[in-house]
Amino acid sequence: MDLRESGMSDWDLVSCAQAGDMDAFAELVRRYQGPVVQFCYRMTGSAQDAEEIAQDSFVRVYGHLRRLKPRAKFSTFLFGVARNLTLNFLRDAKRRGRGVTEPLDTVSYAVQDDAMRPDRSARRHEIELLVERAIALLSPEHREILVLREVNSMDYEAIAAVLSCRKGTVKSRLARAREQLRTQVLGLGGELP
Amino acid sequence: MKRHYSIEELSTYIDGEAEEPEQVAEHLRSCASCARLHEELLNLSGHVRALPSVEVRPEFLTRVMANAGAARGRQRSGFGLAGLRLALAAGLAVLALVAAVLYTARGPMRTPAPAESALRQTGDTGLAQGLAKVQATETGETFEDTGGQGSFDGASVDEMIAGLSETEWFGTLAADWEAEDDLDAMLNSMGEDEEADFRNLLREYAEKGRVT
Repeated sequence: MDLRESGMSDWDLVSCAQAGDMDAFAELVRRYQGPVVQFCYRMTGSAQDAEEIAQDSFVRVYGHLRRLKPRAKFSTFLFGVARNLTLNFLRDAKRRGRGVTEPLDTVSYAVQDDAMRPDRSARRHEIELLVERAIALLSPEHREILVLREVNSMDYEAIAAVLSCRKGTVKSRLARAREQLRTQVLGLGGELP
Repeated sequence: MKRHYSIEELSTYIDGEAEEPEQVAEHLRSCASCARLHEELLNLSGHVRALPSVEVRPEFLTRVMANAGAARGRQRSGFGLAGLRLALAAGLAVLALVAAVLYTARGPMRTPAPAESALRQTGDTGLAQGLAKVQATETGETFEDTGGQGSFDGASVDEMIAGLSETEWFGTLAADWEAEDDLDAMLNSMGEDEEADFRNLLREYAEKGRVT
């Protein structure tokens, strides 16, 4: 049976993987590798670091597979692990004296990776650079909530589960993150309306 | 006319989580100031969503699966309950010591964290102070001591878990244990027997002041 077309739920796949079915775990990785890498990328600003952290997240989840119980969404657990590893990475990077991200370098890296995007206007490109740089200037606390909402399209309830906080906290923290981002964008010379 | 909406209210509105979206929509039709802020937030949200995504390389899956196979071996020789018992005893002792030392500490006011408030309400100000100190150290803040004794007396197991989950010590323990440095996630990853053992250890400490 092709698991990709089987319509199995995440917890069905976890159950199969717990019984030793590696294909089931591979399908879970396929389902979430994109969103988890995007999250880590926007948090660290480095595609290479993002891949490593995301990879470590899946491996850790696999290491605890036998003990996983369907109390909440599988994605909540996975993103919780990825979030913790990312924050650890950022803390270590700070201790080593390395910036949380190197906004300009990071931005060039991302842009070069995107085959020059000939169809995009210079204006659009300029806005992307500015927004990426502004995101990199946010605190990890603000960045993570913004990324979970805007990049990973999570609703408030899912974000609250990943961050282990209340929905009301998500509401206020997300608003502060947006306010900070707006301030950064305007401070960098951007225009929003 | 209603007062202007705050960024928080407009942020909630654009996420479709406002309690009374019709009222916000109506206000936006008649208030240029709020409409402008709303448009700015919408544009900001659109810009972030439109950022280019990074491609996941095909070898990502291969690497994960290869490392997962290696992790399986480590899983079989995990930290174990004996190790957890030892680490828990050591950690609780450290927390109790910190709380006791803090009995005489003084400093500027800080806002209590939720777990700290919960512990204060149970009368366990010693542990609450210990947590306050740990949290203040982690965030670089100072704190105010209001006195107390360094023990878990009076705190329920759930309250102790809530308190422990906020300490850097537990993050270190969890990392050593190859688990997540988040207590909720770690509890979620435990089997029923393991979780029962863990809760029993905490209960034992609450009753006897030590783990045997």
